[in-house]
Amino acid sequence: MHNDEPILSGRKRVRRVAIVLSTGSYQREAPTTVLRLAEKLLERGIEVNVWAFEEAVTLTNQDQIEHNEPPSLRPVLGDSHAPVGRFIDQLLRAGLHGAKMDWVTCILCAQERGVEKHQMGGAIVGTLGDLWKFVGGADQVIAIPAYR
Amino acid sequence: MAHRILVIFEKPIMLSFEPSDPHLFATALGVADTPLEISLLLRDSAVTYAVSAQAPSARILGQEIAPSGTTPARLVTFMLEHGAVVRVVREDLEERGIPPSLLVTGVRVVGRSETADIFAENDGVILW
Repeated sequence: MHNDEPILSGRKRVRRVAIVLSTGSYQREAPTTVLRLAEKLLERGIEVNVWAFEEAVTLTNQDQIEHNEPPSLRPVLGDSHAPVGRFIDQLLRAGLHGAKMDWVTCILCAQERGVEKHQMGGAIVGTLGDLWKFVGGADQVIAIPAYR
Repeated sequence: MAHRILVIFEKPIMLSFEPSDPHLFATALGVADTPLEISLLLRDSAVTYAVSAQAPSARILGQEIAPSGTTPARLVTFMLEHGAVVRVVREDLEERGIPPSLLVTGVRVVGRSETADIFAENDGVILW
């Protein structure tokens, strides 16, 4: 990257962040953390590029359903809950009128899991080359390993 | 046939876009809806599931990801109300600085040395 960015308190201003995420949801907190972080970055006008690979490619499966909870557990679980994909979709839309967020799913990982043709609108099926372009173009890179 | 089942939790899962740890509510379903005699043993970091004053919350674009407000402690309470025995390992509480007074009422505190006998009392063991 060109080093002519404004300096803030001795540190380079961050304009673009790459996030590498490799965990799916429902048994992990990492996607929640990434989405919360992405929201705050977008609010501050920072461009966010998410590279989703391994289990993370299922986060943008368009066929996620807001299912009903088992009847006997509804008093404690509630009637239903929104799937993670809904929040990703809303963050992608939020980026339409401010700092943008790109969400790229690894084509190899998506094919392995049968979700390549089921990606939601806004998610881009990409290659490992996109990963390294995101990394190379970022002021900051945040990578969350698969075991988190 | 297995009738007495011990379910062990070791690592908590929070804020995962499920209302709570899916293993926890799968266990709650077994407690409430089956004739099996299911008990829980919370050890390692999962002892936090029995802490009563939990308030997990995560908002994205102003929306709570788990709007039902379900906590592990609510599920523990639900299982106690449905007859399950819930135990936590004392040493794991102590290592984390959690006094028994913070636990959901009805949860039993057992020593680590007692756990082998608890295993032996059951026909089957599930470790999540």
